Amino acid sequence: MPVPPQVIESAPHSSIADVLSAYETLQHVPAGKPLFREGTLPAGVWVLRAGEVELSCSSKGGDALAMQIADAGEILGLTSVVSGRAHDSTAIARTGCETGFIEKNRFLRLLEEKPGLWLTVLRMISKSINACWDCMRTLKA
Amino acid sequence: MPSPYNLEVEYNCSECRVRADRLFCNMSEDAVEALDSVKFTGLYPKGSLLFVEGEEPRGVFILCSGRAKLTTSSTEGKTLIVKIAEPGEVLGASATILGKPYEVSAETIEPSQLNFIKRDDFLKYLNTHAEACLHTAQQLSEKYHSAQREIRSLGLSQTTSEKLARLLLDWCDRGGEQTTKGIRLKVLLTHEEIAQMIGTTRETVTRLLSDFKKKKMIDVKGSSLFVLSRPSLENLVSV
Repeated sequence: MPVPPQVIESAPHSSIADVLSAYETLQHVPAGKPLFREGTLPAGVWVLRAGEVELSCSSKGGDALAMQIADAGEILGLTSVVSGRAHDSTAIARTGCETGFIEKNRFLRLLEEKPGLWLTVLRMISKSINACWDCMRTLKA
Repeated sequence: MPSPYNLEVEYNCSECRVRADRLFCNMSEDAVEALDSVKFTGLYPKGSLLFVEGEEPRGVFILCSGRAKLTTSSTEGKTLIVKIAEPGEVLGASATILGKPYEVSAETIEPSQLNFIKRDDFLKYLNTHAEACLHTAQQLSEKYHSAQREIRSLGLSQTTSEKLARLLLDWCDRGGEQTTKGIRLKVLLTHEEIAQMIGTTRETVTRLLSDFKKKKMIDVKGSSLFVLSRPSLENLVSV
């Protein structure tokens, strides 16, 4: 007999940071220091607790394009961890930042153990996509 | 009996032969059976508007076959194509998940089969199938990475010819067919639509394609475009 599907209790948006706090390693990242670089495989996710991080990409010739500024509460590296793809951008601390790092496999296991986090993760990725559409509107106009 | 629009129609996801190749649909039997019970299959001719930017989200469309263009409007009212969606993609997922209006419009550019899932049903489906959440997250992440590539190309390209060369190379990688003449691309977009993809005018696209032809980088035969010299196009690209 098929097992009835498990009902996922969705975590409130604000509580994801609280849930993750038990599993993260706190790190202070000084201004100007990178969290990850474009083209590298994802090591994990960074919950940005305080400060600002700039996401940018660069051309073969070294020209850089700032794409987004991430604020406290955002999770960086999420789409790369979920898809297993290399980072498409470089993340550099604009100010001194407090981050909570969770290693990739630990984070994926956590999603299995606490499926209620999934809908919040989906909302976060959806918001990132909307930010991309906004950026493209500006660049193509 | 011939099927509408000559499409090979698959009404039952459990029996779909290409399911294993699709990022979202490649799920366990249980999850696919549950999907079958909430989806409505529809066949659409070219030019069908699936949803419109600013509209409250009604649900998601799984593109089973065919292709669709995703467009948005600039503040000046210009139409911009942000993506050409390929079979296997889920359209309207971010708006449906966020419960906010669709950020883009979706219109088929060739006859297409789409499976529609109402918003409430899709959210219930996600709530009861963690596996579907994972596949939706992977699908959305792919869309995010694709958008980032596009932003990089648009923001870092120095010239319009570079943007056009980049677009043609992207098409070569996605669906180009190697022939003795070169890499064959089936072009479903008009010059106007190509212009909407790279943020320029129809006249510029026509002029640049003619220029590429003169330089023997490409050739055009009907709706087929042949890339005769991929290295020449690559030389134009700095990104």
